Amino acid sequence: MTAPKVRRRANYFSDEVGEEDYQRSFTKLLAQVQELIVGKYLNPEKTHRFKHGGDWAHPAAPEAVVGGMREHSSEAVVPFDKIVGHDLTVIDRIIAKMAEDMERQFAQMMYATVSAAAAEAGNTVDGKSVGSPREAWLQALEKVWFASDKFGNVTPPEVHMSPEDGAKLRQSLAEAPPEFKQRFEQLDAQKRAEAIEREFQRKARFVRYGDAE
Amino acid sequence: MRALFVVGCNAYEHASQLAGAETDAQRIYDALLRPEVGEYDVDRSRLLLSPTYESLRKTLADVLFQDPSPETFTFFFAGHGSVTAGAFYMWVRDSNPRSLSMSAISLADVFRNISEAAPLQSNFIIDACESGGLIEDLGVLLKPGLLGNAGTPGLTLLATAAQDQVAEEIPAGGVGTMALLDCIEGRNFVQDHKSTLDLVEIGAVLSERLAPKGQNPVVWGLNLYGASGFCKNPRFGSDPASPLRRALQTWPVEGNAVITHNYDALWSTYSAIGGVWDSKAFARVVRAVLQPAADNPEMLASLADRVAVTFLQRAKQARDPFRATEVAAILAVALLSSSGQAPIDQAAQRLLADMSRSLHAAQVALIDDLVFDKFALLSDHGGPLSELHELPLRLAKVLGWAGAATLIFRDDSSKQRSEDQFAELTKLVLEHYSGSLIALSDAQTSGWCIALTTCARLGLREEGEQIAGLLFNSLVQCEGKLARGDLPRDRALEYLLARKESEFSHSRDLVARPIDLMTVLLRSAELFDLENIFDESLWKLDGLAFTAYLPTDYKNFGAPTMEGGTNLVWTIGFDIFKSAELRASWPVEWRTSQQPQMIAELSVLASLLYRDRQPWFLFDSEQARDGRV
Repeated sequence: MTAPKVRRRANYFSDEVGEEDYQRSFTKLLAQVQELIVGKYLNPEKTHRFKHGGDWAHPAAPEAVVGGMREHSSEAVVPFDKIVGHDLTVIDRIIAKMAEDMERQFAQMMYATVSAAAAEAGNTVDGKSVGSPREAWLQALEKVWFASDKFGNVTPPEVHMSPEDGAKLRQSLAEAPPEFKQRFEQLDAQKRAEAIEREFQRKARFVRYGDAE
Repeated sequence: MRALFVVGCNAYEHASQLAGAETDAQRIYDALLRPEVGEYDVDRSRLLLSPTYESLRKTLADVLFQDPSPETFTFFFAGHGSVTAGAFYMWVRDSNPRSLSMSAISLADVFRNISEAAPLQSNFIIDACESGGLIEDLGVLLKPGLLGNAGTPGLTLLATAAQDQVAEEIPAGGVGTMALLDCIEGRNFVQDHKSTLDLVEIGAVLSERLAPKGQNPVVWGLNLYGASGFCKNPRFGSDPASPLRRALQTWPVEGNAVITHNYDALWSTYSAIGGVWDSKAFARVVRAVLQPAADNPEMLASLADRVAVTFLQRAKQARDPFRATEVAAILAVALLSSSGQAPIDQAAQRLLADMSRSLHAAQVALIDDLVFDKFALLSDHGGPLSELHELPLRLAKVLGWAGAATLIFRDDSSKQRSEDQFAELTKLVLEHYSGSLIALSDAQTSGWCIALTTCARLGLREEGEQIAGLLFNSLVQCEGKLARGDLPRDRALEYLLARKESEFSHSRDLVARPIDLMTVLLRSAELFDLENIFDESLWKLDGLAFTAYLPTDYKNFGAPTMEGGTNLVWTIGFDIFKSAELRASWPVEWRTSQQPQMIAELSVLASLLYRDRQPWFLFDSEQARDGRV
């Protein structure tokens, strides 16, 4: 004979179906918040969604950067007193806390990934040794490719900086001599031309591109 | 033809020997074979003591597959049992733990056999270690598709030890078997209103009896096909000589078609009732099952009894102690439209008695829990944020049902006990949950209607004042924008966010218009002398429309949607400027509309279950009015 079991905690008048529906709506709201957060960093049209686990692999493009799922987590504490006191502000606080945690972790992951890929390719610039923020910026531009879409519209690279570094760069650019501006314009034109050329070469790999006239 | 197949195994070649299994089997066999108990056919029934695997299978085939086919088949096993790879095995003499599938009787094997033989009713009783493990088999085997076909069996099952428990054996035999014998031989009372006993109702009694000994029997069954075929009821006094066969043969067969038609829904509801369940879905199934018998009071009452015995036992396994209360109430309310006929009223009275017992037990548990843990009313099923919506509704339910109990108990001591419980729960809720005593949804209305009128009737003036005051203040704060009573839960968060910001421009469809709760609060103002206080703030609710539905006949109060009747509606600042004007405009014919007790009781329960209807007559009862100061 075994000892009597300890009574399970009762759930009085628990509308279990309703509570699950509510929880799903909360998760949906969090997903919308997360979508906004990711949208701040990545173009939604260029964001891929995992269907299953495992890393991405590019078998036809081995040089492409590979990445995989990373787990982000957030923990929020809701005191029972707040619930019993029907304090609706806890909803905002929980969502804000989770959004903040998710954004921080996402940004860290994204910059770490970009940083690791750049370091691996030797595509880094040491701002301090270059001399000025604008020179560092120009060197960075020299190292990257501009992107062209299939219509020949060239998109310059996005610049992500801390507010302090951004202010320094803006001030440095404002103080730049005409010679710097000339160098920048030449580099910009060169990069755009290269982007268009690369796009041309890419299209040329098709048997045919565009409808026959 | 009724066949009994009894196995007791003391002797084992690969397991420890048992002392009492054969004795148990012999006693069960002897008892059920007696004409005044089980009336099983002697020629077709078998008793096997410590058989081998092969001899058991051969004998089972003889019992099941000879002509004529058995209408009732009862299987009893006492001996070793075990759960292996999710399947339950009954061990016989030569069972080998290394090859159980080839040497022990699996429940799956026996089910396949009875599925082919298709007796109308099969009863399984297993008194063995880990016999609760057969529940895992049942989940796989008892698919509606298998058992729902016409002619396939109703099946009940009683296992005297849960999966992780050991069936206790004492020299006189297994504790479970002895308790079972006490029930079927009349030493232990089961019920006295039917001539037969059902294995599920016996299981319910065994659960209570064996729990203190650490054994929690598993009772599983949906014995809805005809009258119970297990054994006669020795405590049924009106016609003790009536043969069981006659009771079975005279059972109206029309009911079987109804059951067969709804078998899938019944099974899925039965499965859900102990866990995540949907009361509305259960109510729909109950209506579907009972409706075709509406013109046959005897049959309707019996159907309600049979559904009740099965589902109530299952409901008692739920984490919600109020589950059995709701199940009994749904069944009782389903009889409301046919009330006034003796068999129906008697069945409703039995259901109300069941409901009252479970309600009392649930309230005792709740009070104990609240004294020990002030957060005991918070559910841990969803996330805590869902409680922002659920808790205010739950509080209305708790006090609404507690108030209903004070109306339904009829004997003085039970009535006094329920009144004490109501007072205690009201005190605890006010002490621990006053922050959630808010007007949030129109679905709270019936709970507060009953609770507030109960406060008035019992002279709990201060408590009633506090509750009405808190609700009214929160109603004013949200400008009367309560959530719809049928608010989909996946939009409850949206409502809460809109309410927090007082910005409903994108969520207009979530707001109830007109509302019932305002009507309850204004009528309560009269009971607690709050009219002047409420009137001071009525301008803040300028333009708020509120309503009261008065049915043509309260006998229709259990219908999903009532036909006819009157939807009274008022608007603050249009036809109502003071609380007293509501009372003055209330139709005279409804001011004294007292209902017969049974109809009143079932209507109160209907309002708690369906929550879009209010028992307005409670405000007009003499006691409520006497409660005024």
